[in-house]
Amino acid sequence: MMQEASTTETPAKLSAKLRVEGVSLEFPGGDGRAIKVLNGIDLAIAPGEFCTIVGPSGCGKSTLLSVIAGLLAPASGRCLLDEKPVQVGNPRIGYMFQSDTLLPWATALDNVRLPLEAVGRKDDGRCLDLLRRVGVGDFAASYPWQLSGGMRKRVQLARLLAQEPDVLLMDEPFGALDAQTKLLMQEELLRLWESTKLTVLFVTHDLSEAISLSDRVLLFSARPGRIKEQYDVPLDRPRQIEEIVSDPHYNELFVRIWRSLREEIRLS
Amino acid sequence: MSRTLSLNLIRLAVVAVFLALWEGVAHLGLTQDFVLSRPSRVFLWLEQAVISEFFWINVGVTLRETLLGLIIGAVLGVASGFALAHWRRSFEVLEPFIMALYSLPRVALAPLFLVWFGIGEGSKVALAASLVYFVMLLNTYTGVREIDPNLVNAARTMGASKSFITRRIQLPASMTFIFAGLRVSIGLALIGTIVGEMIAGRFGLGQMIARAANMFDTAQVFGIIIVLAVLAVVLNEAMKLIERRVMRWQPQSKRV
Repeated sequence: MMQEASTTETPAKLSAKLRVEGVSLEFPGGDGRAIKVLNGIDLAIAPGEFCTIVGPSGCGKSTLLSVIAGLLAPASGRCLLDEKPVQVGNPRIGYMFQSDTLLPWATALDNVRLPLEAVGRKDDGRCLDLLRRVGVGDFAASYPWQLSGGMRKRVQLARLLAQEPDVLLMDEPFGALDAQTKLLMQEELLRLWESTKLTVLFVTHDLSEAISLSDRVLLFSARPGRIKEQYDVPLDRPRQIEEIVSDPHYNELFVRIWRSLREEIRLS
Repeated sequence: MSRTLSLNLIRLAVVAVFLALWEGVAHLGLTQDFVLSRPSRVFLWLEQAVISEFFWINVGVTLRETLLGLIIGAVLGVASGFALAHWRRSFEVLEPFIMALYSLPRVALAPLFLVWFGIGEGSKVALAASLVYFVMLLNTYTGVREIDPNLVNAARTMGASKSFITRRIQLPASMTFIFAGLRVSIGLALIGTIVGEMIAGRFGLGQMIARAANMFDTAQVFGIIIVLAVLAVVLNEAMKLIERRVMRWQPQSKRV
């Protein structure tokens, strides 16, 4: 059942939805020297795969998402979607930020409309449908400040789906939520993912979240970030969040990843 | 009794006491009329003014110059603020010049504006606009720079164009700063207009003040000052109405 942690080599996959090849990145440091943030990342994610990245704070895991989305240009290497180089503003790659990026002056519905309007489209029926699908159909006319943290996340999920992406890049999307709301949102996300067959790359510092949600967990090293180890998650689908934690495989995997992660946290 | 009502009653009492003291001081002959005048004379002048056509023409001229100066200065200032926030390098280059012009008492430019824009309304509008322009520029620039970069990044990942991001993200996001600038700008536009009119011209409340002061008609000077205060309050309230309408998405607690 349990597979050994493999080394950092890219798994030989025939068809990758998303491929990252030798991506390195440096930021200018305070003293004029460059700080290496990413160090030769190789990664291939299969269509429909749910992949999470865990790692110590500041290891560059969020930065990798920005590079994949095209928001940051890597110093070397490239990112491919369906084997073609990614450019910023490709709606097929959806990005969910850690911070709340709903427009505060727009209603929930107007926020969900935004990705369509950005590319000159309009489909209110679908936007309303998406709000209903994530459970906030009754709040289409509400402004973000009138919604709870969990509801705002739901609206953001609806907005993300409105741009009809193939790939979701999610940067600690539930990091700021309270524990209970977080569990609800994880269930919601699993449900959506199971019904849409989206490819997901999910960054989190919550090990339990990583294991519960994903098919594969990538462990980042301390800065400069590289993929130290990867673990396949041997849990059946569809999953129930509340049942996972009592699964012995879950516990075993949690302990193994945690021991390795702990070393990196101490280094960082 | 509601809180606002009792507040207003107290305010009214303060005004009444103040006017009574003023009238009393003048009545007892403690001051000369051309120095302080007295409320009864001021109100007498106001009574005659509101039925004279000449007075309303001058109010109209001042109001038009102020509003034109406000609009022109605000539109140019907001546009420049956006442009400089967009091309950050240009702001770095221009910053010392902008700050120099901003700190310069623009009133010193009045004689030049008279030469460039004539003795008519043009020079007053220009002076008002020059006062408004820099405040609006700096406020807009700050507003655009303060925007959460992830709001813009989120729109970029959706495939939004630069003009879409400017219209739909940056403009609404900087509205708080723009309105803060506009509230200050009403007073500045009035200053520009009145000073411009006092220096030279034929019409306007500033010109009326200058003439009345030359004739030691202190009652009229006070009367016009009251008219200007009313004008400023009306303009401020109008701006609040516009702001509330534009920012109606805001929670009640944050509204002006």
